[in-house]
Amino acid sequence: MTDSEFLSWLKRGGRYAVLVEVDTSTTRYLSTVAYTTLPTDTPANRAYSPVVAGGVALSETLPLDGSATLSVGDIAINNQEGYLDSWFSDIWVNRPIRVYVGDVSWPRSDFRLIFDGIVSDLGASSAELLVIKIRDKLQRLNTPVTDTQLGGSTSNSDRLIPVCLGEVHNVSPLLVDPAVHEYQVHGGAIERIIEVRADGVPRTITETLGAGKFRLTAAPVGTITASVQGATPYTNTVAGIVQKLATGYGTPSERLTSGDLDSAQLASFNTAHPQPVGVYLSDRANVLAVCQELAASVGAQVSMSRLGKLRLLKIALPASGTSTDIKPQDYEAQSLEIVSRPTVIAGQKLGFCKNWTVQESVDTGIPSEHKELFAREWLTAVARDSTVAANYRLYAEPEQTDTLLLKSTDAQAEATRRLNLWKVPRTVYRLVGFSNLLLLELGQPVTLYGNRFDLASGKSGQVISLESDWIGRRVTVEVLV
Amino acid sequence: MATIQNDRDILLQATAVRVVPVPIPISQVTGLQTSLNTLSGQTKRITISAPSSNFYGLVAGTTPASITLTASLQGGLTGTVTWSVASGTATLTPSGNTCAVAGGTIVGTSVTVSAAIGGYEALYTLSRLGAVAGNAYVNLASDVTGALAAGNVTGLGALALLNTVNLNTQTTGALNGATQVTNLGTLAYANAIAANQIGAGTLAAGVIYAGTLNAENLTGTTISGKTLSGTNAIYVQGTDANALVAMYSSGSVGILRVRGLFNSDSTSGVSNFSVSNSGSISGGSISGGTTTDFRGNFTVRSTNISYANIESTSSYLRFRSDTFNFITAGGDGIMALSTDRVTVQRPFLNLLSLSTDPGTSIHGDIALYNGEVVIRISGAWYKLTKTPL
Repeated sequence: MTDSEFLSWLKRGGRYAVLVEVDTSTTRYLSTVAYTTLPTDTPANRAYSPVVAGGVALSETLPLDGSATLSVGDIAINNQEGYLDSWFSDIWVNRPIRVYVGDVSWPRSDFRLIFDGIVSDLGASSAELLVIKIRDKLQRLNTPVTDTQLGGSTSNSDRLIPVCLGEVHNVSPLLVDPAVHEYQVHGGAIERIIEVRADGVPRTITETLGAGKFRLTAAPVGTITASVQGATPYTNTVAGIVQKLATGYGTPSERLTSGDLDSAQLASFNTAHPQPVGVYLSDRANVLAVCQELAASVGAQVSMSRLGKLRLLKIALPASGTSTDIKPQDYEAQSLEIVSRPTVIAGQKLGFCKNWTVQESVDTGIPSEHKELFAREWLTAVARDSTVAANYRLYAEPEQTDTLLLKSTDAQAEATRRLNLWKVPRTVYRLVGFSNLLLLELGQPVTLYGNRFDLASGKSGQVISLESDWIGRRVTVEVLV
Repeated sequence: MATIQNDRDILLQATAVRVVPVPIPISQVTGLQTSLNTLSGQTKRITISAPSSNFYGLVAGTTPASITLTASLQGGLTGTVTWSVASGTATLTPSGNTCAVAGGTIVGTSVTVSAAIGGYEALYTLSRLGAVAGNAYVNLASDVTGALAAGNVTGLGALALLNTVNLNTQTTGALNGATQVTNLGTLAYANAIAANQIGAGTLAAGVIYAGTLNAENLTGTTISGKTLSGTNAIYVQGTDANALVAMYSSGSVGILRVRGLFNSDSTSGVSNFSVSNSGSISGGSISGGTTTDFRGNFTVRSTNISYANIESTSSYLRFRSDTFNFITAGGDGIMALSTDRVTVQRPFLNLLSLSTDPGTSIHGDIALYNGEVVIRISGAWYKLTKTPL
């Protein structure tokens, strides 16, 4: 069934059904109306319990501040007389859940998947109403990157083995064998050890790239640091490292698989964003937080599509892709309103090329400019617009935003891009759309028309928030213009 | 192995000197200065000092004339040192722990003097340099005697010492660079090129592309599309029986196209085209143009012009002259009509003037007969009757 056929059905209506499948201890097949699959369906002759009450509302947002958010929603379940109380004995937390929409006359295969996520938990909003709280699959990345400790009998035995992805400067390696002056920068094979230093002075080493280790050829004097290109197969782009983190790190059972990645979108993003980055995790870190930090370095955010595919979305005007028109006939009259007016900025300052081991007092005989380099945590790139500063009475010196970018050219370009995006007044509009807008996606470019707010001729924007009510066939849309 | 991307490591690795040696001041090391002083004071040694270590000038008169060496005894040494020449040759004049050395006594360029006592010795070397060595530079005019020999000059060799260079005997090969000249031989060095220095061959197009070619004789050549000027712009002279100028055209436009250039020479009465004495114009024709083109340009004297030589095929033959004489010595009339006609445009002229009386023999179709003009029509003669106009 094509999108247009599906939208046409949404418009004309029918015997509307929402199917919910939850992989608890025993997979639950739930629906809003009684529905049984056909003998030719897969699964065949499957009866869905018509216990879903109220609406199936999903909320997804692309925050303007770049923070990571999870799509959330609630599904209410009728529990008259407590005959479903036994469900509380099942394990619901972090279990996959899928929601489909279609007509009860359709075969199962024609139902449209509208959400593929996980269950946050099962609760009860009243004595006769259960609530399945749902989250998108990003929740699965909300786990520590690693919990592998060094072990052994050294003083570092309880330290985590570091994780090094991409290229990093001046990290503090973990001393794993003091007897032979052996250090480790990653719990596996790495691409390259650029240089090892003792208080800034280059040291000769014997490296074991296959194990992410190196040994000093003489007893260490001073603080040992290293610049490293991390895990192999080597990648140093945002999309590459995010995929590596999402599929290779975190709690093994919660890691995403290749099927959970929007490969085409990620490949496109990788092509558009080749800027080298790197991250070094020597302590406990959260996979989702690290992924978001990486994505934010180029102004993007980690997001899950409704179909449960990991994507990297970026607020940009104009947004990439084919624009969809949103005209007054597509949304409820009088529903168009202004939600917010983001602050105009006159400057953007980005920190880049992080010094992972700040050394403020190095007494070795290295050049003074190198000492200054080791004493600074960040190099910075600044973009300013004095005209905007004067017009809006703004301070010319912006606050610093740190990134994991490595090159000044990339940092300067990103600072300029962000300044250009926010140095002009922007507006966030909200409207309640009809069913034909239910298929809008976060980050999608749109052209918004309206009878108010100078939108008669239409303005280009980007979808930054969606609250979909698949039962009521309405969607609340927020558009950044 | 991937290329380094981060700015910091690129900067670090691009630095040639990564570690700078750190000097530690003696004062920063406790007791070091004292120890050095103690050590210095306890070391027995001889030091020699002098106001200068160099003599300048000739043996006969060095500056300074002599240098006095002073031996200092260190570390507890006492006594009078023994002065001697360690190497070289010079005359020493010792006086206790001092020793004078006269510059004029140094043989060669240096002498090393020794001061010794009790097994300890110090050496001091004095040098005798030429007077020029004391100057900041050498003045070739005042500081150098005699000319430089060729063997003392490199690069240009002996030529550098000459006022001139004979390119014929003192150079080898062609001139190079911007002044390079090839294939011109001796002409390359001439101020002008004489006419007889252009031999066989043809000047290529563009060789003479402007100005005037002033030549006395042009032999066996072709001139096209150019102007010849000056007195007797073209003067043709010959001595034998062959034609001086032969003009031949295989085309149909004629050899000469004349318009306005043929003017009578009123002074000498000689036309631009003249045939004198027994010459003849024959074999061919003059055609084209109008009668004006030939006005006064042709004079034919005592010659034969056959009817075939002057004719008109499409118009008429017109003579325009105040005096037009026909002279005949034969039996035929001066003008004979055949199938065409004679047109006389000036009827008041004396049309026919016969120099001889035809006598009884009447020839031609128009004749004077007994003082009257007679005309022969269809074989019969008729006398003209005068009728006033």
